[in-house]
Amino acid sequence: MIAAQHISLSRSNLRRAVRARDLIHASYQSTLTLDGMAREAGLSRYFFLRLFSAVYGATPHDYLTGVRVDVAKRALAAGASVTETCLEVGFSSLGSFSSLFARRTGLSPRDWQRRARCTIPVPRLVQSAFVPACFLLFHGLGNFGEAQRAGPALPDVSTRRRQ
Amino acid sequence: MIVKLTHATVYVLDQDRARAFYTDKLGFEVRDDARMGDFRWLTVGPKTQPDVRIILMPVRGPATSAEATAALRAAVESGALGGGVLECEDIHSTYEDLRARGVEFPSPPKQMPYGLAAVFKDDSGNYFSLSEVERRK
Repeated sequence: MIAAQHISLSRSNLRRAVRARDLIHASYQSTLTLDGMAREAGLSRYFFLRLFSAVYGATPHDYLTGVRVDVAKRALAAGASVTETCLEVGFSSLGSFSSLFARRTGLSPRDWQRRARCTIPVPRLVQSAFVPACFLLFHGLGNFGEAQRAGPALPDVSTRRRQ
Repeated sequence: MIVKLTHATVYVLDQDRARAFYTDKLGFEVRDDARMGDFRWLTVGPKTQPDVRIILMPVRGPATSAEATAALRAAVESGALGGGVLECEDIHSTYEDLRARGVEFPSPPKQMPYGLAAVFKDDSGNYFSLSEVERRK
């Protein structure tokens, strides 16, 4: 746990943290290092790490990983291959991408894709896979109920408990 | 156990106008902007709080009746629906910044029992409190 106290969340520090996060969102495909990000922010490596963690509740590396996994989920849901997805989100090794994805989501990229794809019967509705269910139902866009019946059988998670 | 609020809904009269207001004037970022037929999924949020999304929901949804749409529109326009409370790090400078960008403040910053607070309206008429974050020692 990184100590978050004694960090002043002044306007200039908040701006530095926001700029670093913008950099992560713009450059998640390339190699981003803690030293490089700290240099961009004009801060020492250690202060930058503490500041970013204080604002975002995650280290820059954890945050970057989260962004990469999120982009990967969308690419897989849209039908990209695991290899394409791995390269798109900035990994060069398929093995390390797959194991990181599995650690974060609990499923391999292939299994995650199978599950996501059977909720998306029409390609243009890929986005709807990421809209909370209540809004889809409320606005009459509840295609996932029918899609699940039409697609491969999904495990019944209604009574599943955390192991 | 429920652990977090991730999405909150604000009803807006015009999604294009609301998108411009929340990004250009409030400085929020767009998190989602996707169209599914007549439905537009539009969410925004402050850049320092990436794990919460404000849904800019149109008063007229694909499955909303004409009566419900009219009632929602009237409620939003009359200011009956509050959008919530937003925090900033310095209320006086944030107030001046936002006013310079054309944000309407029915109430300027005032000392309240819990801290400093002002009230502004979004482009649809939703009221928000703006409060100053307690200084971290």
